[in-house]
Amino acid sequence: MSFRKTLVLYLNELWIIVLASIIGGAFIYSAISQELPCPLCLLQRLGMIATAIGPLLNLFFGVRGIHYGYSVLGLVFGASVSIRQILLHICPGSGSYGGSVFGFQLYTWAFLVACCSLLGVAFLLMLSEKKEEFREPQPLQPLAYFAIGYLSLIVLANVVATFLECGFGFCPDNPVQMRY
Amino acid sequence: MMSGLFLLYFGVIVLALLRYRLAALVGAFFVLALCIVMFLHHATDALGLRF
Repeated sequence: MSFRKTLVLYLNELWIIVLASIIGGAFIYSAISQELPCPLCLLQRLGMIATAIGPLLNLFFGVRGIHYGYSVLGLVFGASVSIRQILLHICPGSGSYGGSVFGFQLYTWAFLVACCSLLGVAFLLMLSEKKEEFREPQPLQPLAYFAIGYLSLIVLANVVATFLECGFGFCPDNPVQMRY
Repeated sequence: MMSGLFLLYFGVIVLALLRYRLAALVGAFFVLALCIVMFLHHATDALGLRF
């Protein structure tokens, strides 16, 4: 396996871990500050998971354009939701939803994460130039197992937390208490 | 309903683990489409359009 392919697979693993950590960070922040995530916040998390699915498929089935394409769709979706929420609070006096982290609201951070992911996809696509070599799937490395397990754990934690907050129906626009 | 979307993404990860590439890809696109529908619902709901 060439150095370039090793580097691309390693960066894919790292990308999954970073995205899962960001979702986990938002999850812990919500738990500590006792703030329930709004529907748009949950959709931003879904956008980040969608972005992480692309590199995950790259690890399992080899590096392919359609996997990166899916990541781009996911991050564009996440960025759209973030922009929607930023615009809801852009007028002076319109307030903000939730507390801030390092001076930015979580939805602003979600937009920045989507922008960074876009740069990451561009960089990885430039590295994955030799198509035939990259298409061949490789046995998973320990770091890949960790990344996949970590992402699965974060997704499952969100399943439980979101169910406790919203139940079977639609999530309330301004949630104040858990449904269960 | 939103927790169902997270659950479906977990299902996509499981399908990838089981090496069903096509099923995982189709599932992933399907979930993303559902996410977009959910976003449209919430975005238009705030505007009073009730999509």
